[in-house]
Amino acid sequence: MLRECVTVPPLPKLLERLTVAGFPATVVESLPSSVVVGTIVRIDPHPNADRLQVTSVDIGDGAVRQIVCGAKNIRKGQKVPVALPGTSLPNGITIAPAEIRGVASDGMLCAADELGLGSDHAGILVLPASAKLGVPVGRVLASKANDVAIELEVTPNRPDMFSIRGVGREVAALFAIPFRPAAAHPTVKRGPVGVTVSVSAKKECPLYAVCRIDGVRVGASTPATQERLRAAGMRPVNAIVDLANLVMLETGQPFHAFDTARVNGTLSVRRAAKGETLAALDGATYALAPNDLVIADARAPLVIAGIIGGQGSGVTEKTTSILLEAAVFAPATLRATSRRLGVTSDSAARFTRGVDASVTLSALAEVASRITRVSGGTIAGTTVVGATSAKPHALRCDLPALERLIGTTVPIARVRKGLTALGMTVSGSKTTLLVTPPSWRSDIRIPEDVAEEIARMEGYDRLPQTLPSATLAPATLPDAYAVREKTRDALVVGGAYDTYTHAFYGEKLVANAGLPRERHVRIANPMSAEQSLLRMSALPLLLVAAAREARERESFALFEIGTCFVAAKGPLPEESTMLSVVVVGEDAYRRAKGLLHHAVRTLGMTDRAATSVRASAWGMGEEIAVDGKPAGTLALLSAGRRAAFKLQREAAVVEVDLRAWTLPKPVRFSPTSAYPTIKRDLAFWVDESVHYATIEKVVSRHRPLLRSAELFDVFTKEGRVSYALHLTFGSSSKTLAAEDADAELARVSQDLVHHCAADIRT
Amino acid sequence: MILLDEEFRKLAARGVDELAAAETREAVEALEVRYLGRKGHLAALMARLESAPRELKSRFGKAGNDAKVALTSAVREAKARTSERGADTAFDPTLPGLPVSAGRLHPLTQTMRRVVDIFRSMSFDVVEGPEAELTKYNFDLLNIGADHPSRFLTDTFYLDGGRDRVLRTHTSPVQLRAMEGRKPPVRLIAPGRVFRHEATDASHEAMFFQCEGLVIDKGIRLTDLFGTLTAFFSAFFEREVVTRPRASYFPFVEPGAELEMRCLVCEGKGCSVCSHTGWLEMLGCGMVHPTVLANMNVDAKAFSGFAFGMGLDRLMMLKHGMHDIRLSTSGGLAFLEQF
Repeated sequence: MLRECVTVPPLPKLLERLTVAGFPATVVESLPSSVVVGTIVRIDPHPNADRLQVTSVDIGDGAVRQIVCGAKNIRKGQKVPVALPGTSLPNGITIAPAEIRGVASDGMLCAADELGLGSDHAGILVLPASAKLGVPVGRVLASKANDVAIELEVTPNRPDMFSIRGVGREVAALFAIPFRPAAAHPTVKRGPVGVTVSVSAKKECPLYAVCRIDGVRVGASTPATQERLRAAGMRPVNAIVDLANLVMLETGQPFHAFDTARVNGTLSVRRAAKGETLAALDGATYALAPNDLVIADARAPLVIAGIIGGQGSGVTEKTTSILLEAAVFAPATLRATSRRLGVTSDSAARFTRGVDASVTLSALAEVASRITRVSGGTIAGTTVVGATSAKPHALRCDLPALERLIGTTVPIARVRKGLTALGMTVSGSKTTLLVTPPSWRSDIRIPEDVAEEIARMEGYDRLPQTLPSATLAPATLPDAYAVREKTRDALVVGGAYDTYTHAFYGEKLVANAGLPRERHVRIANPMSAEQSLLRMSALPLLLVAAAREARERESFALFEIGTCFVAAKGPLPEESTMLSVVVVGEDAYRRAKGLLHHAVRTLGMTDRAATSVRASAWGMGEEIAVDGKPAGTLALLSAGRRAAFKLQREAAVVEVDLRAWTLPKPVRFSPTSAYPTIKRDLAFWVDESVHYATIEKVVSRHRPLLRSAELFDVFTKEGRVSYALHLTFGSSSKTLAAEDADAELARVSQDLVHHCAADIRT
Repeated sequence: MILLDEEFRKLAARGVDELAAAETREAVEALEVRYLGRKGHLAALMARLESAPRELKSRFGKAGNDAKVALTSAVREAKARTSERGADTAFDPTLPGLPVSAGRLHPLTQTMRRVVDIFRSMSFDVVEGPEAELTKYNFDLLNIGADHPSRFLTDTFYLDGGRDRVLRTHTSPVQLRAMEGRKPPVRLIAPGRVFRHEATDASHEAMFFQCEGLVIDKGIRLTDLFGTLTAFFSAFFEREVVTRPRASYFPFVEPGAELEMRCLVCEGKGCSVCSHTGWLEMLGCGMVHPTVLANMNVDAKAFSGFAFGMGLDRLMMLKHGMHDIRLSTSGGLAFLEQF
């Protein structure tokens, strides 16, 4: 169809330039390559079914395939389309080797409709005798058609590209070749149409025209028309509908045809009344809302304006008089209706993007005149309500400024030529270029839009690529970002795996985790119930992953640093960056604590951090505070939580609000002692009610002579706990004598006996 | 006359030298027999001890023992040296190294850090903004019309209670927030998580990561945008990439563009990664729309700017040859361990 308005450049060039100009273009593959030409070499009756026949088909590969077929039109020697096993047909069927009523069938002979070529299911599509065996049928049909179908992605700012004329104009401009729009510009002859046409919703329908044609005979459209519609992915119906669709493809103006006999008195464009419904052509009945625009007669809505027609008013084989509608509807109104009802159509696709009101009447005259040529009849008259589009205003453009925005200079003659080819009127000088966009380019509103047109005509891909010059200043990084990444590194060094989980979960996980339901932020339109809440903790989903991994692995640690949400009074939920860790396996709690301490140390917060015993919803554990403010929790996952998450191993969790964490200050160096240290081990029993924190507190009173105390063994027996410590003694001013160390060790032991009722073992 | 102890020393010295020179296990074993065997050189000298003068016997005996020790250890060393297992049989150097118990950074973290590092090297500040966002920032101030399809419930997640709060659908709102406290010239990036109301499959997630970029200064050009991005992709993929900008449309930029990169897998010949087009769609970008500049309190007459938004998950997938985005949020160790 494009050939009618422009000399089509070679295909690869055409696809490339359209793509670069903003319309990614691909050739439509009409049929899978596994539908090939075969010839019927033999036909036998089916032994178990009267209606079926068993054919032997040769596709030129040396083998003869047995294929069961139900069609009556097959004859020996015919060339037919053979869908080989594995083929997915356009109608959605996938062919597999099968047994049909006891006879093996290795593929399928296809009818036209099965190949997506119209609705003809009368018999197998018979191919020309000249078709070569084994060749993909798509290629045979394409070479016969001598055409390819191209599919363009069109951005919403370019509704003009929803027509062949629009594409032709664009191609002509891009390749600087002549554009030959349809020669005749027929005009409508105004006159009565026998029904009252009224538009009450003028804002939603600025232009409404109806043309009456009497004495038509409704039949099929010409094969050429049908072929074009099919190439565009449309189904031929009858000559009137087909021609309306064809002119829509050409001009971008959708039409609707009513059977005059089925319209009662008036055609009014109005908003739907509450409670009104429409039984539509797709078989569904739609409940209409007051914001929907309808075309109604004196009784009821006939059509949902611009979207879908009703069953009761359309053209049938008995129709002798039609009312042909061409209109302009407000895109936003139709968009809302189309979305709400979930109905899309070729007509809706165009109206919701915007139709060029300046072509409406000439397109209506065009389709009316073609209908009378094919279906007979005479045009009785045309009623027009409303006006064609307003006159577009000129844009004053400073061309050198536009060139600076693009980054290249373009000779003024080339600018004029390109913009003119796109339908713009260009006048003025280089410094004040006056550009008037055409009616179909309502997207051109500001000089920057003109800059884009100039750049598009040059070709974005042909522009030079430069680097901006800049005042160089050290790049900054938010502290919160740096804290996050430092923490991440610390945990990875400590053996934990960095991961990301989803930001949503559902009620079930909230219950499993024992989190407060009411503090969650709810999604108004979730994908599913399992994703209806914004997470206030990353632990539930980490625990789900951990439970799965724990089936395979004894010991591991996973963590995530990410945003969590809590419902808040302000306009937005409160967001926090949470560090969430799950440690699985033996000694999980102490490993988790070690990771936390390592991270705290890496962030230089050891002296500011303190832990205190505190159980949480996760289980027994501790709270960590920084500068006295709670900054996180640490817990041995309780048996109940483990069961809820089906986690079969020991596990511990850490959760820290990283907003409380800060970047480390430079470490202050403390002089290392030149004097040797003395090491002693100390082992003792205490009652299991004594926390290690108490022991640590007692032992640490012996600093600075006691340099360090390291717990290296701990076990429980009969209500008592045995601890074993490596103690290191040393002085910063002299070489410590063994007696001094032993005396201090004795004092440590005494203190432990005194304060913790320790039973010293060594 | 050479005394027996001197002969022992000479024998040991000769034997040690020969053993040290032996290159094969067989040669070492032959030398062992020749020197230490029942009928070997050492045994022959030892036999002469019997007839040595009594006063010299202990001196000769000690020399004989020293020679035996020296030869025996020389044999052991030579055997270890010529053995396949290397040294001492009790030491097996081929045992595997003990595992270092470090974790790994998620490939997305690695990607994000690399992106941030490259842009920081080009003097871009990093800025951040909230993930739950007001429609004002996510749509209105970005020139996205009130009835724009991206606002539909089928495209955007809304928070319960009113229609003015969304999960941000892109990192672009961070531009607006960042400009509330800044004046041009600015160069900034905003990496972060974004949300789309989309069913999850191998290449789509309802949640993914983007990195926004914004440059505003005097005389910023469309060609600067393309050049900056090409430089970025070359740095990211550690090779000279070929890019192809093409026109596109986003309400917050004008002129608008999409940047494609010649497929890294097939070099543009066409393969499954690039859907047989030879090109990979990398990102949307353009010159900041005058309306958006005005919303940033920037004088559009004096300044111009460019903006871009790239998908970090896609960069990660391309860099590592991943085919399923869902792995990224699976928390699966088999996946995480690979990086």
